[in-house]
Amino acid sequence: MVGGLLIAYAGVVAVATVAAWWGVHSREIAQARNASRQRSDAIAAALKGEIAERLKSDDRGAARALLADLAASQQLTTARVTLGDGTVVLDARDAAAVASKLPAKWPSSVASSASSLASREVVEVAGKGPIVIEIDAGEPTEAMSDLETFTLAGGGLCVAIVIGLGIAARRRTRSLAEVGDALAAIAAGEQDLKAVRVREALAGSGAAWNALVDELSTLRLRKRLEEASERRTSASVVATATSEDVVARLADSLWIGLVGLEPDMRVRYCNGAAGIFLGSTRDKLVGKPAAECFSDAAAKNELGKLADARSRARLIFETTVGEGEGATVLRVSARPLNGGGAMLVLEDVTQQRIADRSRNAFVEQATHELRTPLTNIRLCMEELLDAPESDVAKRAQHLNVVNQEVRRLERIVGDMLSISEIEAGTLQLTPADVRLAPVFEEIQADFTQQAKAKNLRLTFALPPKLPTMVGDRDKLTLAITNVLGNAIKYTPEGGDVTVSVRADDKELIVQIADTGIGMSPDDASKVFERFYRAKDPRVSKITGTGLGLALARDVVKLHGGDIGVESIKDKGSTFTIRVPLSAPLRHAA
Amino acid sequence: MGGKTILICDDETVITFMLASRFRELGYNVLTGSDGEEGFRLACESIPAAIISDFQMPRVDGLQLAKRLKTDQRTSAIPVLMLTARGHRISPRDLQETNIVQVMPKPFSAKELSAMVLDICGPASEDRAAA
Repeated sequence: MVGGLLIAYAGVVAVATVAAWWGVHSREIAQARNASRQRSDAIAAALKGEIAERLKSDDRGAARALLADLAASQQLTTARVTLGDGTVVLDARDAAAVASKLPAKWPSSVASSASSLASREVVEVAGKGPIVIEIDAGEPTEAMSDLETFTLAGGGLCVAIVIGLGIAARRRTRSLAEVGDALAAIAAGEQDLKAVRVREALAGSGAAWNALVDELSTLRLRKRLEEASERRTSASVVATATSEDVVARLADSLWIGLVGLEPDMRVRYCNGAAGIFLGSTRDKLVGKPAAECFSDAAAKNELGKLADARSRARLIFETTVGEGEGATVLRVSARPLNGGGAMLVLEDVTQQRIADRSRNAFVEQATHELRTPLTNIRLCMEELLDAPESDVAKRAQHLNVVNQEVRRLERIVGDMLSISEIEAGTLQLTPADVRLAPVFEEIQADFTQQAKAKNLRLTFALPPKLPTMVGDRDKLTLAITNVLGNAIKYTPEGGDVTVSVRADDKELIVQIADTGIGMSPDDASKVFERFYRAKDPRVSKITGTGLGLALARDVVKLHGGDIGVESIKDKGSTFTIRVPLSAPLRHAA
Repeated sequence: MGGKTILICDDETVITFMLASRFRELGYNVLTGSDGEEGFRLACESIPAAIISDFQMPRVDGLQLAKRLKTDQRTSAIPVLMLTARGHRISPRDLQETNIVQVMPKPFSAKELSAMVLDICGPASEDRAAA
């Protein structure tokens, strides 16, 4: 662009200089020509008399010599004498043009001349006619030469400058036109900057435009890169935020508690479960010292170990949050994190610990249940061995006790196996036709002695005829004896236990009513749960596994039936078993 | 009613029946109770020479019975022989608070139990002779 302007300025200055010089020099040339004309006129005027006198006397030679001398001395370019019709009489510069012989009668008039330079003097030669003397002192040759040279050079230069400027203007115009087209294309939304480049050869502006386009292209590229980077960053931030959000939601959906601790053992993060486990809210826990989140001293002590930088081992401890029946047993796994801080994983193991205690109680109760008949058998066997064979009555009594205790052992072992099978989901029923009358006769026989020993009135209300049903005889017997044994166990001395049996063509209904200690509604709703034992202190004094009724329920369910209880505390309970006579048997879940 | 008195406490009627029969044959007077509450009452009333008690009983168990006996001046000197499940251990602290002199795990031998009772309180006739 700057180059173009300089060229334009230089062109204008050059043309102005040439024009000025041309004007000055042209005036000098005009002055020189005027002076030359004046000198020619003076020479011609001075010469005409002498020439006319010599021609008058027909001394053409003398006239020629005079003219030649004068022409030589005065450096005349033209020194010529002609007649009126142009016949050359004398010529100092061109002898060949001179007529060798003059006419006898000269023309009387003189023709006009087109020459602008030469001085013409017409003079009458007495007796012959007019002659024309042409004298030309000549152009100022040096000035003319300079003028010509300058005219040629200046004209050429001007032409060259004008042509150059024209070309430059044309190129610039074409360049600007292309730039204009490019701008229009950009305005129209052209994104490909390669398409809006112009030819470099057009002009400086083309290169400048292309430079602008390149710079714009670079800026656009940089902008795209920045935008892409921002998008990536933004996407990353969004992704990170999204990931954190997802992780937080996932963490909140967990049933285990997660607590993140700062290096100073303050809570940095906790999920919803942790808040519930610790009996607080997330907002209240965040920022709180971890030790203050737990109430018992053992937990505080364990967390103190965690805070000790020397201790980087994973810690596992259990702690109890809350009191009474609502107390929660938490298993806390504490793991130090690299770079400080720690992660606590809280698991609610309350039910596990209850189950553990129940299982331990079951083992204790079961062993007690087993040891008692074993002890009885052993005592009887010792007596049998020592008793004389003649004491038939005593031997029969001992053998009867042994027989009862063996059957008792069978029931206990059967219960334990059934419970184990139900727990494992492998309890199998052995369906067959079950004649119900003998079943209840055996049950009555088994429990009559037991009730009598406890001074209870055990009554069996059996219909005259009981049907035959499809089922597992041993398991059905087990279910009924468990419920009946329970009634006898929890009915104080002098109480009543009544077994009512009835059946129609669809189902068997067995009701076992007692005047025992009864149950609260809460206990009644849970009495069929495994390992559940009522809160009543009277129950805790009575041996039991907490599995008998659960087993009865499972067996009845497997037969397609149902079992329920109605109970009034301190008044007694009534258990009702309903079993379809021909329902398809189900396997344990 | 001559001879020493033995009190047997167990909620298992077969055991009390069998043990009562054996010790009566050995010349002892035998009282039986089905739980700790009844056992304590009988002990206070008869001041037996020895008490055989099951550990696990309804209402008041064997350990509570033994502690009550120890704290009551009338019964604090009565030796107690405790029947319990195998592996069940009574803590030394509990033992200090009772007058339990022997622990017999179930199932036990009636002969061995008789020998222990004889060792603890002597033959039934001595009591009768002393009286």
